[in-house]
Amino acid sequence: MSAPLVWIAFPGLLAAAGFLLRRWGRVVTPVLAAASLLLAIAAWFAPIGELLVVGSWAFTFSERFAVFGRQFVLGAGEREMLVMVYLTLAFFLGGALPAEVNDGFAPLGMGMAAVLVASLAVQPFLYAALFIQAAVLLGVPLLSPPDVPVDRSVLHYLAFLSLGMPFLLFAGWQLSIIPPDLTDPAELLPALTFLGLGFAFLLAIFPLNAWVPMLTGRTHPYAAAFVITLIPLTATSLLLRFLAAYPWLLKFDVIQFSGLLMIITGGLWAAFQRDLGRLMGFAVIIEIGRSLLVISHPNGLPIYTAMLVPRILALGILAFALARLRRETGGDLSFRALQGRARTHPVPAFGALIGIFSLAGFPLLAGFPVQLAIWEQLAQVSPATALWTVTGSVGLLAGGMRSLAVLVMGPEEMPPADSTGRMGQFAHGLIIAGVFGVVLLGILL
Amino acid sequence: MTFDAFALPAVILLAVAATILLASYDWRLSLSALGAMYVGVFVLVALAWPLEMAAAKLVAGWIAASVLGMSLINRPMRSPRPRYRFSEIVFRVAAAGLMGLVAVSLTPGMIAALGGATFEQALGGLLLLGLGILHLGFTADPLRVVIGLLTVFAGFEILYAAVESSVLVAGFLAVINMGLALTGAYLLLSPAAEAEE
Repeated sequence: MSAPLVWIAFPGLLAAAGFLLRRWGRVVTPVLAAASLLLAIAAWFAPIGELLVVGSWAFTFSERFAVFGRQFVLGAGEREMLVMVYLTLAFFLGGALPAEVNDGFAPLGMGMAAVLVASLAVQPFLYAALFIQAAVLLGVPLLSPPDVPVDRSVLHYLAFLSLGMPFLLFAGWQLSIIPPDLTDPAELLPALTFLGLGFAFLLAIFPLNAWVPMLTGRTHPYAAAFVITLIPLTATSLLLRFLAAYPWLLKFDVIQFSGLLMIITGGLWAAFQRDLGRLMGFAVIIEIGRSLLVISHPNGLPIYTAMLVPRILALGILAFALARLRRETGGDLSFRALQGRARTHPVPAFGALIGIFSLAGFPLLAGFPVQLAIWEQLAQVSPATALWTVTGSVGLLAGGMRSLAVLVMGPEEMPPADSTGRMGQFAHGLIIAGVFGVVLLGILL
Repeated sequence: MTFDAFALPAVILLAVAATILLASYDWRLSLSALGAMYVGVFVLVALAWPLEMAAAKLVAGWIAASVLGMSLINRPMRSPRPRYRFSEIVFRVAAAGLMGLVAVSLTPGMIAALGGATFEQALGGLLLLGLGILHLGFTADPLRVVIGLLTVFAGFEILYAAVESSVLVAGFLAVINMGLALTGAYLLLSPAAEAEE
């Protein structure tokens, strides 16, 4: 037995089986959610690379698996990301039924996760871009269900993310032939250009990020949040592997500058949004910018790891709450449609606001301790950078305050809507549990 | 078998096919041009790769074109036949010409960067990359977006073949091309695809 078989082939098979049985979504989705959770737990505790003794049998739980002469390796170094990917999957699949995404969401999501884990495992890692591209393709039916007209935001998603692959493969090849002692910027320029363009497309770096708010504003927010959480997570992991293999890349400040630019522009745009779906898109852009800023810092890796759980939790609650609100407004998440919804649908409205405020780093919420750590660390190196980073959060906070004002405004007498049945109550329970988790993380971290 | 003698005709074929893809409104003509484009890709890839691996690219490309064609034939709701606007076609062909000039000017630099690439490979690859990106910039129609991406990938594969000959990568690129075509077929069969240009 080998780790790639357990965390790539097995979920891949489960996804294929789930896709064939997707008509029975009410059974398939919880089963796949439970399987994802088990895979995350197994990734945490599995004795990868160690000798296992079961009765009279003894075998090594190998970390390698070879295909066509190439190795897939999932060792202890990948354990953290493995746990994160399957935990994210379990988290999103857990809310898939009440969020009312399409029946293919769970199997396609699991397929995406398996392919993205393959991108983490493939050796040499330069080929990871191929697997990320396969995951991008799987994301299309997830974002555009068969019974819904194709939105142009999905086409933009497909085009922009697909354009990243060629550049990354070229960059990988260029970097592999550069002598280790070469530091002349002129000689490094082609590799850096390819690498920069590849990640600019893949991580939706400014100005190639217009499709992100478009996608979150025009497609199902829960499906969009899932895709733009998982793909940047693995793309950032790929960037980290590039940085580990070629540490001199950090000498150029382009990663830090890109991150800062994304935070500032994302915050600025977020402050003036009039649609909660688009606001979520700008929150994601700010989060990607923060990730870039943090990993470009010499001691930023622990902070990057620490910011993942609060981010995914907040984004998940925001997306889930928006999915519930969207159900009530007939698919419209504009301020006009959401006026007074905090009175008629207090739980989803409250969940959405908590999600936004946590992503903005509001005190006592999950995002705050992490952002405080980021600001502190940045301020030691460059107070100006720290200050600009704060402006991004202020912009998102302003967007959240405007949303709060819109959600509570309206006529004096607006009674809460009737209970929406068992699934509605389950959805409310999930939002309340999520909000509780955000507050608890904010206090404990 | 050597394909050196066919290299320049293949580049011309690629330029003509990619320009037709950019300017044509008729999906039959577009898919025929796509099929022809993969013949040019096959010839240029065969300059660097063994014949059987290069043939895999041709087969994968033709399968991709067939998948798109079958989905268009089986589409439940046919969109109205678009009207030809002469000025738009002239504009697109002129834009393709400009992109061709850009590709020619970038070719020496690309040869220097890639090392092992021939002039025809570099020019053919850059032409397809440029025209594919141009195509993507002009459209928001699922079929044309997928054709644009297939064109970009074909250009990239010609250039990448000059520097990388891994069987696994070749296999994955073929899978991605076919996956992209399947994605396109899925989008084309969706109820009412937007046809915004």
